[in-house]
Amino acid sequence: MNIKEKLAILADAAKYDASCSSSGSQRKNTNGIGNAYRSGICHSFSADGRCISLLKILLTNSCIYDCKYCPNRRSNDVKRSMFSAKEICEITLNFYRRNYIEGLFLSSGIIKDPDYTMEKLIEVISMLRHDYHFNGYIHCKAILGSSSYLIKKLGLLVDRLSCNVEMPSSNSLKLLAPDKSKENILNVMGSIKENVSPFFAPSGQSTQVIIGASMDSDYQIMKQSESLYKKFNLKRVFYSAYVGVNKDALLPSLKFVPLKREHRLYQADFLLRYYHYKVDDLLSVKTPNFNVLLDPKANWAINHLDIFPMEINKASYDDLLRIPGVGVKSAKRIVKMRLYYRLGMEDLKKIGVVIKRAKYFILCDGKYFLDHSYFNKNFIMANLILEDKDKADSFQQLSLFCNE
Amino acid sequence: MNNVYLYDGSFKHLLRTVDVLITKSIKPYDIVVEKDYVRDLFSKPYKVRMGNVCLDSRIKNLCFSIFLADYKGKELVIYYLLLNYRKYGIKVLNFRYLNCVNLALKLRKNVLHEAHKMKGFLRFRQLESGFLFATFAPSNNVIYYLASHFERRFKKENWIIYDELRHLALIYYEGRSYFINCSLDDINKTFSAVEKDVSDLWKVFFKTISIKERENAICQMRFMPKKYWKNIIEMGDCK
Ligand code: SF4
Repeated sequence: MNIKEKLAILADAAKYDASCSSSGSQRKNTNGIGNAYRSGICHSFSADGRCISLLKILLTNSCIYDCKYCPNRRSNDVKRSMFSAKEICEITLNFYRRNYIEGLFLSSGIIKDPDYTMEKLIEVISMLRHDYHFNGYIHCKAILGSSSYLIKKLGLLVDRLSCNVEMPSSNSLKLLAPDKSKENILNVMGSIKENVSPFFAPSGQSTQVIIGASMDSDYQIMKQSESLYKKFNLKRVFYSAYVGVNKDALLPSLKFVPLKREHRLYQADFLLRYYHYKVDDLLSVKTPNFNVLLDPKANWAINHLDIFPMEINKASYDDLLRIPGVGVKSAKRIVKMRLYYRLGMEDLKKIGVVIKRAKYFILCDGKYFLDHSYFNKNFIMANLILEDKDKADSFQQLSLFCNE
Repeated sequence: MNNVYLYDGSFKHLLRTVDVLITKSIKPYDIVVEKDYVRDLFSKPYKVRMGNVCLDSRIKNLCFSIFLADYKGKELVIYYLLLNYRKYGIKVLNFRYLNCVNLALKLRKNVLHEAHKMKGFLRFRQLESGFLFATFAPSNNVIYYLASHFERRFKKENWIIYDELRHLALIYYEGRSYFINCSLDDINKTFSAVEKDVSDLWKVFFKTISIKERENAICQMRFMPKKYWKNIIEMGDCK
């Protein structure tokens, strides 16, 4: 098999992993090639609109496990292949020197046993760091069930070490990934967390959940994310809409990829991380799924009209963040600028507030922009939905993808 | 008569000109690069002698980014910005109701944004001589921002970045950078023997990594605008 065919197989097998960021590390170029760039860099965008920042490949797509949702599972009849350490190093360096990529994302199917696989990964990364003097970004997957001394060894070589939770609940995991256990996964995440330091996976860990392959609700998914963020200091939870690669009685037969749902989850994830929302603000056992028509923040605002309209010149920073159309940046600017002068509508535009969303919810110097009789739930909701639809149809998920 | 001030095209001279104008309370009708100035009946050209200007580094960096912007009239933006800076101090940067401040911050954002994009979109090819060679055509003059980035990243390589629009080459050779005005033909661009194999391999990866069921050309184009495709080798075949 020539190198092109190999790359085609082993990149294809890795493409469902959503993580793409290359940020958070400040690795320096010590007498070799490459460095990490703190805020990450996107080098290209593939035809699906996702950012390409790392050479995303598997060491091998052979696997002794049989996770139902995975294209590489043992029971699938697909072409298998495996890179040698040298091949991976050469491709990485060749791509890196031409500025195609920011670094390497390496994962692997499990061959023989977890420790053996892990040792293979370490061999590659260590060759790349020590023999090829590569100081660019490396994100590596920790192999489930491998010994903790191997995790320690690998963590010292990479910028990010991560482990996918895959499923939103332990039940779904039992059902769809019988060889994995939630406990196992949390153990690995725990030991990564304990070790993270400027020398050990300095850009921390992330994880991924597959959306739509199991019956779990958005509420369950977000609850899990909330607790993961809290427990493991995760940098990111990635949500990956399930693409129906396998046929299995246990899997839903999806006609389409649940992209809209994935998008809502990313938006809600943002609200958790940057806007101080709790999952229970957004969803509950009674309404366990997001409104497909309206983004979670607007949806929340619509259901809490009693705190609106809000006076821009007075509202606290936290309250400003709750206004649809006002982001973290614009809220910060509002707080800073109103120290010097009172803000009017024109100023908000200049700051970057999305007026067509915010206008229903704000007062500027006591002035409301619409007729007061329009300040009611149905009117506002109808307008926001219309506006959301125009936008979402064309752009979908991706503005939320890459940055941390 | 409209007073037009001429400067030699360098940032240093522009800053000096603006500084002198403000100190002498002269309001210029326009400030333009000397070689672009066309004499007409209504204007009278002046020139300020070169000299040093002391300026807070925050405001100086801001002015520099505006200077690199592709914006007609950027000199006056800098003039009005500094005029207000003299009056209010650094807090002037919060006064977005002033048009010059708002415009200045927008231009900077635009320039830095493009510089950042270019750090990712720039594509090098290996020449026979061993040099890595990239050519690009950014809207703003962002090559200065790329210099420090790639000096750190490709410390031990030799490389050239060429701005097609401004005919400006940044040459990094044995650990030192040089800016040189030259034409593209001055550079011997014979690719090394492995070049095609590597770029073909990259195209394979690029194609493979996309998930067919999620294809979204609008999204792709939004993040990677068409105007850059010409130099992004994996997009070269798309039109
Ligand atoms: S362990 Fe499961 S998810 Fe990972 S490669 Fe094997 S089958 Fe796929």
